[in-house]
Amino acid sequence: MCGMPAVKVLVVDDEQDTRKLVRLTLERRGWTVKEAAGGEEALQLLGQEHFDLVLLDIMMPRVSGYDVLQRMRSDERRPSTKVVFLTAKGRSDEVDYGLELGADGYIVKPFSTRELFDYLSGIMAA
Amino acid sequence: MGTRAPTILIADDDKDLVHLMASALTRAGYEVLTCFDGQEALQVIQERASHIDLVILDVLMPKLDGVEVARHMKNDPSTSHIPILLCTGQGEETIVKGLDVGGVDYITKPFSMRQLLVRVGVLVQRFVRADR
Repeated sequence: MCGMPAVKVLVVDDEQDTRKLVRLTLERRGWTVKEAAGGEEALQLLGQEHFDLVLLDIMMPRVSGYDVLQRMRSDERRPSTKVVFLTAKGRSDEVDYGLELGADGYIVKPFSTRELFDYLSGIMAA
Repeated sequence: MGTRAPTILIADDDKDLVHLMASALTRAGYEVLTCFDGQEALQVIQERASHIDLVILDVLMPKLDGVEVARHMKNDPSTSHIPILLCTGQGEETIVKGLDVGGVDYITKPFSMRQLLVRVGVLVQRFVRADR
């Protein structure tokens, strides 16, 4: 954890409580966090600024997490942004599909804030 | 809080309260894990017993109530060591039942986040640090 430069994260989830918990957890470690309440907002923010990591809920109304990832991966300006899905427990089909689409990893809800940070640190160090 | 902050599992069917507690505890430097019914909580506790330092259990929850979750935890050697703080809106009977099956303390709803942090702090001092 020490020595890792501050990571800039976009957390995309339609549940405000989840976004807030992720934000508190990562900001406490010195990471910078922005929030998007849905896929459209995420794509808009991604078009405006660079993020090192995007945490993506899958099931969101209108523009899903899959849609956001597909749009990101088809845009060559953002090859270095890592993507981790947040998914509800027991949906292994969702996970497989997400990884096929090019996600760097996934976190299953409910997650502990420690697991979240340790996992994301590992992804960023890879 | 040293190099490893304690992880606290919060189980309550009142989502707003869970997130209020999660925010307060996270801000205070703890790690949290949130669950919204007893069945989910018990499953998560059994799967990740070695990563959980304290459990805050609502007594009244759907699927499996807090007293039952506590009973299961205390009957299982892999989870029996985890201290339980009961969270109750009810009277004497429920509190007694909860303490009887192994809760180490209780907090009566409605409670302030200040009170929660003090109680959690005391339990962490008593049960968590001594183990390390």
